[in-house]
Amino acid sequence: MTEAAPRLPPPRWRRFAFSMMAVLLGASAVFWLRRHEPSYVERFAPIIVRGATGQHVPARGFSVAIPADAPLEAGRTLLTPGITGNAPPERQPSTGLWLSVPVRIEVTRDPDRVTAFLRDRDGREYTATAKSSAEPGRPFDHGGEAGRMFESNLAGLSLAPGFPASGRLYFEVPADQLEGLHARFHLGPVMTPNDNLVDIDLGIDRGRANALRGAATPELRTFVVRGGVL
Amino acid sequence: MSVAGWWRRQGPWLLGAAVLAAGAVAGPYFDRQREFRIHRADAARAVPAGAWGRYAGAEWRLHSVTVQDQTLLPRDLQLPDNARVLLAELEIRPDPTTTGESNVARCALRLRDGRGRSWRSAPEALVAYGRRAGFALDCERPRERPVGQPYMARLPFLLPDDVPPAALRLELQLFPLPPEDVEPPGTYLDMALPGGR
Repeated sequence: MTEAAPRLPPPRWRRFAFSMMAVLLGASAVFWLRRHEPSYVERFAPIIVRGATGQHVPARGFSVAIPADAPLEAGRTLLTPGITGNAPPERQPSTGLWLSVPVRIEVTRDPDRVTAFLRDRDGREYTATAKSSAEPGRPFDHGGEAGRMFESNLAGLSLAPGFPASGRLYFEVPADQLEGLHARFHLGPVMTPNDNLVDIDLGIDRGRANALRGAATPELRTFVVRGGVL
Repeated sequence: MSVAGWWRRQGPWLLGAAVLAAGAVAGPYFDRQREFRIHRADAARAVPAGAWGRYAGAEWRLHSVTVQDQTLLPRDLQLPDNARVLLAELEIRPDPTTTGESNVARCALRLRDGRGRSWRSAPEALVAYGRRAGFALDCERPRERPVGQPYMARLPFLLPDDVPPAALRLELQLFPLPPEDVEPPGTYLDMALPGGR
């Protein structure tokens, strides 16, 4: 019976090569993970809730609908309430078009404002023009028209649960960018990380864009005057 | 190379790595815990109906919440058809200190129902009416009341008429939040309504 030969430790160069291999594998894994981790923008990107016109789109803290039975309207100059009830309405002419979008908005948890903007096919965004400070029901008497004035513009309106607001939003957009517009809405004046962003396709194809451009009125009013109640 | 020798040589390094790893986990964990405390549910300090609650250098008591008679509201008040005006009467006893007196004015009140919906006091729609009716916009001491005396703040709310007052609780917080040495982050009073839940 022969005696077993004693096991020699592996040569020094093999231990070194093994350690180097382990370090390289570890470094590669770290590099791969760093390359593939979500970016800052991806981690805090809004959660998009998609919808279409005529649908009630519920999101976290609010819901939006663009009624299918109320038409989109376009105009060349936007007329907003004047400083006083006797003053002429303020005129904001556009080199493009003013687009009026009907909306119904409701907050479902806490009182807040809903921010709205349009996004075109090239990713450019157009914010809704701000609501005037005129109080609802303010007397209006100008140009032979008299009554009480009510703003239809809902941009920046303070909302509370249980009180849905129906009205319109007004956007100034280039006349050649109507096709493929989407309306987007989020809660509050600024988006917080991973906020819900409601995205509604306005359903404007080439034919409808042409029709809107053709039907654009010279003046588009953000308010109505109800007479006989002064 | 013996096993015992290996542990003796590598032990301090392994221990150091373990301490660093534990720190790498524990640091962010405690950071997140601190952030979480600001929004935690137990930041609410419950106050039973009719009792005094201590908060931000003052004592607070919800005296009553009443529904305003629709027929007594001004006709030119442009309110939604389903709206109802509620009036909360809040009794305030600030501590006779600068902190107590200066904190109370910036109270922010909300009525919250069982479904998590909330409504702020003195909303925009009621500001003009509130001024005419002599209601408060915040919890500031009325000018005619001497410093050091308790006083009553009457604050209006606008709620839909399908919310029964018995389903509501009043939340009281200072805005901006009081400093950490006055109240722990995020603390607020959660007051039961007289006869409510």
